[in-house]
Amino acid sequence: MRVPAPHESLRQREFLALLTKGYGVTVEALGTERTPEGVEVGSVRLARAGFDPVGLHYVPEQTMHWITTTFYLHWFGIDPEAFARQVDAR
Amino acid sequence: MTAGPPTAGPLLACAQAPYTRSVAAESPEYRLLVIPPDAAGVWVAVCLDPYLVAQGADIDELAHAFATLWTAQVEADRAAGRVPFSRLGPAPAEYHARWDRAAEFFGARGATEWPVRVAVEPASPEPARAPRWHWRLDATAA
Repeated sequence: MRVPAPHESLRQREFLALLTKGYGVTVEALGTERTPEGVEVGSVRLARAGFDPVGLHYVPEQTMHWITTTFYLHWFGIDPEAFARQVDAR
Repeated sequence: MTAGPPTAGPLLACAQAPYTRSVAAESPEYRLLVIPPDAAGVWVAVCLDPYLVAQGADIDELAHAFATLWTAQVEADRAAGRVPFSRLGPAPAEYHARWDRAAEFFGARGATEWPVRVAVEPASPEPARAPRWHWRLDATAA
């Protein structure tokens, strides 16, 4: 199952914003650090009622790969097509 | 995919995730399908069993991302009193087939995906000690 094309330009921060606003996913920071290039990254834990929490290595401006997006949608029981419509509606 | 021919260097240098949380290994080794950057510009690793997916701008970040995901899951399962990963199933069959193909054809013309095994050192009783990760290619044609 491949998530539709719009996701391929989705940044991580946009992805999390959609999950939190549209699906009640909460984000808990586990820690942050800065790469040698000065990019701030963080470890976060995502949670949604009724589902197990899951970790994410969070780089806000990094593009979400469709395989990664598909995985997190699958994890939280989110319909990819419905999610794609949310992306389109941004 | 836009990546050139695969090179084993970064992985054989044994990418170490600089992750410092205290965790213990619950399974000695995982098979990961590592996919070089395409238009999205990030590396992706698909763990076959349990089904986990991580991404990163380079191999080091990918290793770190996988460690983050793995550790969070271990800790969440422990907090819930469960055996780590006991509720997770395997990755879709497509990725198992791709891993097998990658192992068979790694290094061949047109083959871009990497068959990787990631081992985690056995648990340490010392709370502050970070797990050690060892990445290696598993390519019959390499």
